[in-house]
Amino acid sequence: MTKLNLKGLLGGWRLATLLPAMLLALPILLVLLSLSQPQWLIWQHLAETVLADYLFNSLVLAFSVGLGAMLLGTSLAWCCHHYQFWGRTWFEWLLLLPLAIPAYIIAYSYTGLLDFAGPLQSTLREATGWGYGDYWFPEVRSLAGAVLMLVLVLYPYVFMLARNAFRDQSKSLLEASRSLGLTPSGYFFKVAVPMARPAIMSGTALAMMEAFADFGTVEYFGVNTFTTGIYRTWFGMGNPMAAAQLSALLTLFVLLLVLWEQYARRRIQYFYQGHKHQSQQAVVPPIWLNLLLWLFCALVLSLGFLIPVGMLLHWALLVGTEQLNSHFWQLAWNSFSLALSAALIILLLAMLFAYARRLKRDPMVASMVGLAKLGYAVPGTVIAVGTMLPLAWFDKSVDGLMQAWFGISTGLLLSGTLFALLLAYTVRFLAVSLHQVQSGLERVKPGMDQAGRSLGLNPFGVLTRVHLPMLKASLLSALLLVFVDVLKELPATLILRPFNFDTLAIRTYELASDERLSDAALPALLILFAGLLPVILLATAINKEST
Amino acid sequence: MLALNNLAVAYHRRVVVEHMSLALAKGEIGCLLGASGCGKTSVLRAIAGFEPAYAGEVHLHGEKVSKAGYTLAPEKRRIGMVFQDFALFPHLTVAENIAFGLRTLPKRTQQERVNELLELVELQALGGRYSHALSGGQQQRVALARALAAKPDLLLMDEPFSSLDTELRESLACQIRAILKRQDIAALLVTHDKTEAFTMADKIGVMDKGRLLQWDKPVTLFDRPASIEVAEFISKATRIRVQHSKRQRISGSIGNWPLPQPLSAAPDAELHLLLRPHQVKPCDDGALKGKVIRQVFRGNDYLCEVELANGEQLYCQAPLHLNLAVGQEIGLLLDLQQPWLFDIATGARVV
Repeated sequence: MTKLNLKGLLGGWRLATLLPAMLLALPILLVLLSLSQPQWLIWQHLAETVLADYLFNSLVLAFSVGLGAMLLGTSLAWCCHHYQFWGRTWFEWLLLLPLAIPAYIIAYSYTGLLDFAGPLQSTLREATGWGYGDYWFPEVRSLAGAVLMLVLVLYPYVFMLARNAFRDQSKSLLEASRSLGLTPSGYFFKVAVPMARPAIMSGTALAMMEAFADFGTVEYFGVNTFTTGIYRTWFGMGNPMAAAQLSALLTLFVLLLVLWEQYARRRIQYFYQGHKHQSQQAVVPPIWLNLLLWLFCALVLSLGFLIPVGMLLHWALLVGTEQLNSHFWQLAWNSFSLALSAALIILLLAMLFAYARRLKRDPMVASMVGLAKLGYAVPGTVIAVGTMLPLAWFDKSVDGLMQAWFGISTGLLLSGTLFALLLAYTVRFLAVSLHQVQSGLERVKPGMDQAGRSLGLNPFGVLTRVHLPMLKASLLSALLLVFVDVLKELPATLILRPFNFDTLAIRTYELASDERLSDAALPALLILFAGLLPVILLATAINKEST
Repeated sequence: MLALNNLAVAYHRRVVVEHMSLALAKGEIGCLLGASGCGKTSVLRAIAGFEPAYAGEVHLHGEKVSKAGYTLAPEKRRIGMVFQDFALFPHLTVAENIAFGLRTLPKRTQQERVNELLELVELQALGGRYSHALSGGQQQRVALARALAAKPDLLLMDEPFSSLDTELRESLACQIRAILKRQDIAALLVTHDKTEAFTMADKIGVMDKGRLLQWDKPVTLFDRPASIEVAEFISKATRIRVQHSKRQRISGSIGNWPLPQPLSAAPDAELHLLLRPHQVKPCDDGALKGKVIRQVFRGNDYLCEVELANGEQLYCQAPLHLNLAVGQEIGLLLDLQQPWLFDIATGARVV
């Protein structure tokens, strides 16, 4: 009896997760597989011209941003943890706000503020009587400028994780260190930071992934990195294969970071296992230190949020309401409806994977979930390339077949459609949604399912009367997070969008690229305000946890 | 080694401990025993320097380290402390945890001392592990080794066994007592568990509502409890109201009983008699009658609750072979060789 039991092998959850997981993993796998057919000529050309630039700039950008975010985030977290200074409880959540601003938007804002015609230099010239070339002024459109922009919006990752890590260190640890002869500052270096290291590293890795993925800022600043290089290789040089191979290289960097981040996160679990504890009490600093701490936090908040947002608001008011025409509303509708559909599709898929994982404890389903999450942290540019490759191949094959058989040209069926765009979003953001759904499901203990069944509910009843009410908050935040991420996403949208289909992010990018910064302010502000919602949600969740 | 002089501790001006005076000699193990919230941990923290003294003084090795308005920093007190949750550093190995307080010594000396301590707490094989890979009892011993590493003058232990299994507590308490005795280190621990206190300590201080009721050897606490609160805290017992009838007799709902010695109390004085289970025995021809209303099997005997005619209840220890049944009427004999009698008004012991 060698009859293959297909149902047993695939059946139910396995079958249900197999197809979507394969589809979602395909772009990344194709990009990586492209390395198997190296285009030596192109590589030689790249190596002679821009490859060194790409490598140097991308690595310097990622590591400098990582370092900057780490130092800034950790020191802010320690100040807010250890000292009871003026406005501490406010700063604790205000300092998360820069997370809402896409890096390319803060870049536009600072460019407008700091370039030659901007208010700062104009005022300077008026005050001193200097003319063009009479004085030195730092150039914001540079690698250093890009680092600064990214640090200003990415430090909250480290700040948030380090803050939680410090908060989880019990009072007895501080006292044990004191009784073993450490001064309070010795405690910071010998215990607090080493113990928080996994959390700090995890936040740093996240910031570095974002730095690798950034397209809008470096493109605008004219800094050649992998993301801009990939874009140019495909659209400038018309060489998809070489673009895919560059993407593969970038993906390898990012995968290393992902592994590092996951290792760090596992260590966090070890470090804080089963510590029931009393939290440490914040110290009341002397007046001068109090003032210093306040100034430090206020400075970071101003640079990372108040000044760029203020600049955008100023421009938006300057341009006034003439921009609010039907074109603008069409743009907003495109953006919001696209983001909402993406968020809904991704949520449904996330629930499918989360339930498969919960109900079928089996290595095959687990690896399907792993495959589906592969796009996590992979730059949008890379995902766009990976999505284009198979879709273009599919379109070409279908077109060829139809021409041969029926003499009809079907043209582009999938590439350049919303399907391509939604697929790319799903690849990129499924992990975000899945994480929310899974952590929500963790709260529904298996015993509750059993209790529900023993109280007379059928499986569907358990789902609607037990699970959904308990999951509501997680599902909503999954929707919101993906919605905002899609709204902000630039490179994948830029590459994959249907012809003449504009979104707020695209419009902001185009206007800024045409040096119409003040016109770009309104769509930028709309993205930014939408982005504030999940950050505020996050801040209140953290607040609730701490009290 | 340690002396507390009328110490008071307060949080935000609310006094939680006052009039605390006690002394501990080198090599002596003391224990503060009391229900949770009685202020015993506050005393420990004041000795360690984590809380300031509100009034009174703390002397360590003959030096004044705390008084109102002055607190020597904890890291300068040469004390070791074992915390309730052990507070092991999760980012360091067992050996690194133990070496933590030895930073100023040369590496080689550190290594030697760490090995010495690992041997002392019998964890030689585990020096390279991290704390999350240890059992509760092992973590506890690492915490002890870390606190002892720098050869402190005094070791403080805050509920050191509370997070461990009951079976583990007693054996570990014996082990730790042996280790401290071998090292001749003075120690003060804080606990709410009587068994722990009696297993570990040379001297026990019974605390209630921020005050030290009695500071004495364990045996003395039983022989001569200072007050009815102390007696009731250290032993399961029932209060019975009696009257001092003649110079060597007491009478009340339990009948009229002779005492071994004459009492110092005035004739006709109202007293409290505390009866412990082993002082009440079933006896067929006992004049005192009662009805068994509850019975708990304890392995070597039964602990019965017996109701007297007037509704008062006594604990009674009954041997296994008697086979009493709930509801049965029995006679009782009281053993008043060492009666615990207390003044009703003041609660002080009457001898």
